[in-house]
Amino acid sequence: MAITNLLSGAYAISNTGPLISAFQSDSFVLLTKICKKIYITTACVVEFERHGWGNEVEAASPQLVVVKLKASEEKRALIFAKQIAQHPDVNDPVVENHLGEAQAIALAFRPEHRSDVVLLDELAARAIAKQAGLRVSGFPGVLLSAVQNNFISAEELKERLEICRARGTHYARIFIQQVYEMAKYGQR
Amino acid sequence: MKKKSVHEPKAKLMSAAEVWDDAQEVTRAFRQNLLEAEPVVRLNIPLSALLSALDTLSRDELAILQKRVKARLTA
Repeated sequence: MAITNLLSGAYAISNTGPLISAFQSDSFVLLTKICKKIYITTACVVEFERHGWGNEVEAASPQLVVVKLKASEEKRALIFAKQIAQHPDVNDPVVENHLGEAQAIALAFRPEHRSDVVLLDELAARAIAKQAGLRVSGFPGVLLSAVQNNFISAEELKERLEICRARGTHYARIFIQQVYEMAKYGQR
Repeated sequence: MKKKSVHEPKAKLMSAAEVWDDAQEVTRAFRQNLLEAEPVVRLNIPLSALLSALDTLSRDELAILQKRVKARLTA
């Protein structure tokens, strides 16, 4: 087994935002080098289609797997969506608009997904997921891990985050520079 | 073609400091999954065999090894 394949046994559950960032920056293949499979819920599929990413989601199969939650899980997701909507870091108080991240969190409670990383960029959803004891990372964290494990260079990380920014994802310039410096110098 | 847009463009996102923690979490989770998925074997081989195996590694693989050795030496 090649050393570069040492990390190929992982699984992740993604919310809409991090995966859109991966599609925007042509990083889905890189993502699958780190995550063998990525799970998304039906609420996220609706969001991807609404934002024009339906074809990319379809093309990402079989590494990208769509999961339909059971009724009990949907109820649990609704509770998470309410918590997210009420969080002080949220600008949008409409509960339904947080179903994507809430369903991703609810899916992570299945026994077979308990060790998966939940991909979330939004502050409030991350706080709720961490409070629930889940493993969380944003898309930039996956890129930084890819640098630390020699899949890409620090410069490539920066370039990918800048492409996301240019295409509308809200990564601030200073944020990208700080993440780049961590990647470049290997320290926080 | 349908116009592409981003999800919740005004949402507050994680800080750069959190990105560092995220990366460590990702690497930790993936290594743990690998250990759970694969049987572990202990190999007793002569040091010379290990050293000659290094000659077959690519530059990227050597860089990973270098990091690992450095971490062990400073532990």
